[in-house]
Amino acid sequence: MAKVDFANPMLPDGRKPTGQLMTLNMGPQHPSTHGVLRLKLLLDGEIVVDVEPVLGYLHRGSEKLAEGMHWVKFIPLTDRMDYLSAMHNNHGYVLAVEKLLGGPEQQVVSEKAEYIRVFAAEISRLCNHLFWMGTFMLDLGAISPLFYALRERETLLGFLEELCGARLTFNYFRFGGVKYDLPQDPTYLPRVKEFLAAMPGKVDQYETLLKRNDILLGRLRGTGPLSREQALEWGVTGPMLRATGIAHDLRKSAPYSVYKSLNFDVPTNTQSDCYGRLMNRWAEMRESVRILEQVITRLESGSLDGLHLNPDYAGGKILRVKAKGEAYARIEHPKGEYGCHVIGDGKQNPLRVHVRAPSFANLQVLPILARGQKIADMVASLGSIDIVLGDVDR
Amino acid sequence: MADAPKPTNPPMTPIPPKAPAASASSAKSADASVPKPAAAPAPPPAQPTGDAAMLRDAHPDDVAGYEVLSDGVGVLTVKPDGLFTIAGEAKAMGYRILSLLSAYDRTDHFGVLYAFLKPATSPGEFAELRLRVTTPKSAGEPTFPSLVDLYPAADWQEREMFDMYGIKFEGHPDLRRVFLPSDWTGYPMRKDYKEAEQFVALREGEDITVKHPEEGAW
Repeated sequence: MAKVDFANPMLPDGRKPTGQLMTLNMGPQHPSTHGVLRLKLLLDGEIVVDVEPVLGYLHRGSEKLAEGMHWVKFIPLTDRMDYLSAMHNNHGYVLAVEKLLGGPEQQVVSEKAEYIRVFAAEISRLCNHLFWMGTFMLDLGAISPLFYALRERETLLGFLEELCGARLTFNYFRFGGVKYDLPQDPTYLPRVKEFLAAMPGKVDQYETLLKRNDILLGRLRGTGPLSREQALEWGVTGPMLRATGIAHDLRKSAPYSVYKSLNFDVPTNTQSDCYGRLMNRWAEMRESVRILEQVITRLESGSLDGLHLNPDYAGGKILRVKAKGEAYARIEHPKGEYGCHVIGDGKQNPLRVHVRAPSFANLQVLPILARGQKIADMVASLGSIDIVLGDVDR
Repeated sequence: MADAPKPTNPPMTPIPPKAPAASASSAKSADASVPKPAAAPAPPPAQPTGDAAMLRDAHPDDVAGYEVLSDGVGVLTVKPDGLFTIAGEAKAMGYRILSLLSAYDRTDHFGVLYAFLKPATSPGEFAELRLRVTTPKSAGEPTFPSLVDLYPAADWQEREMFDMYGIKFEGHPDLRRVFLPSDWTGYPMRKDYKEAEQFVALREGEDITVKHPEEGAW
């Protein structure tokens, strides 16, 4: 999106703004920008004439840091990109490096490890969508949904903590598997299962609370519209794209890990506004529960072969990984397509790691969503994109 | 992808537990017992398939080569002059989503790897096209055509690559730094980048604050 044209402003329908224009700076320290995002706004009264996001306040140069460390040591850094769904970041990077290590055909991860990965990733997806819902409602001025969302998220984070010892930055995935096997506690999977059985009812509860609230519907319906064409042009992926009616989901269309053997649907919505995005994410939470139930059944059956971690990459051997070649791996992150482009020249450290961050690509459409809308609705549109600034700036 | 030809670069096997340095030895030492990949009879060069082959046949002068990456996906290397045309045809073929735009610095040349996707709901519909452009460092400052007119999604991604590698994307409407401050000198992701000796605080506009190391901590 081009720079804000302060000299010759224009509303999206081609009209010239009539009132006295005001330039407003929003952020980088502002609660509803979800981190340190700065927005330069050009306002005609309460109407947003134009908006320009200014990035870089959380830029840590992770990609440059990656070039100076062992292959495995970049995994904790991926946690700190999108810290709300760190398992997926781990997954994308690990998949890309495994392609260098194993080639297109060779399997370096056991079936059991793949199921554990999907288990962790889908719980992480639930956590992401729950936290998104809570903070999105907070943006709109509704405080209590956050408590409901965090109530469930705390339990889910507790499950992840039992799995890998961390609650936010997991550092759980490894080349060839995952760091730890499932907990020894025999009640672990039954407890997760019990919680998941109640989860669709909890989503029903959110819907009951929010869907019948006229104020909320008034804030969401028709806010932040995005057409199908615009979404494709601007490289929007994930729930944002599916809310325009395109069932593009990499778990289905380019299945990685064991998603091919799992039975789930790709929810879409034709109301491509904030309301449609909310409905779509709720539907995705239900699908995640479906996936998790199948995965737990497989994990409990004990019929899965292999170890949680390929012994070739266990212990200190992980530091001696010397990958060679070039690959790009993409996964369906809760926010969209997350990908890692890695190049190795057979040394202990990567030659290049590039992260295709879904938040960065999706945030580009903010001016399209916000132009001509009221400033408070711009906050709703921004929230509906689901960004994390650690992912935008990297 | 199932019928993709063998990769040109030898696929790496996992490090065998008993010889953890095997991958390094094949690169460095000329041990006769280990057949070097280069010494083996060269496999026939990979041939593009599907849409990549159609693009190659339609623009034989603009295509410089084809290779298959470690993940089994082919990459069509195109000449910078032909990138815009070929990407335009790819878009017309249905590759609507710009998935990846990633630059890199390989000491003797700069390159950019593009990946385009068709919106797909099933594995049968899924299709990916990858293009690559390269320019040697001896040719001066790297310059490639911008794809913003075809894929608006390239806007920020090209700005990021300009920010990090100094790659000029000709035709970009607003090519400026996206993450670093506008007065930053140098392109930090380049391999020959040297960190500045003095630390310059993050700033915007004319308010410049320079801290010298001898002034102590701040």
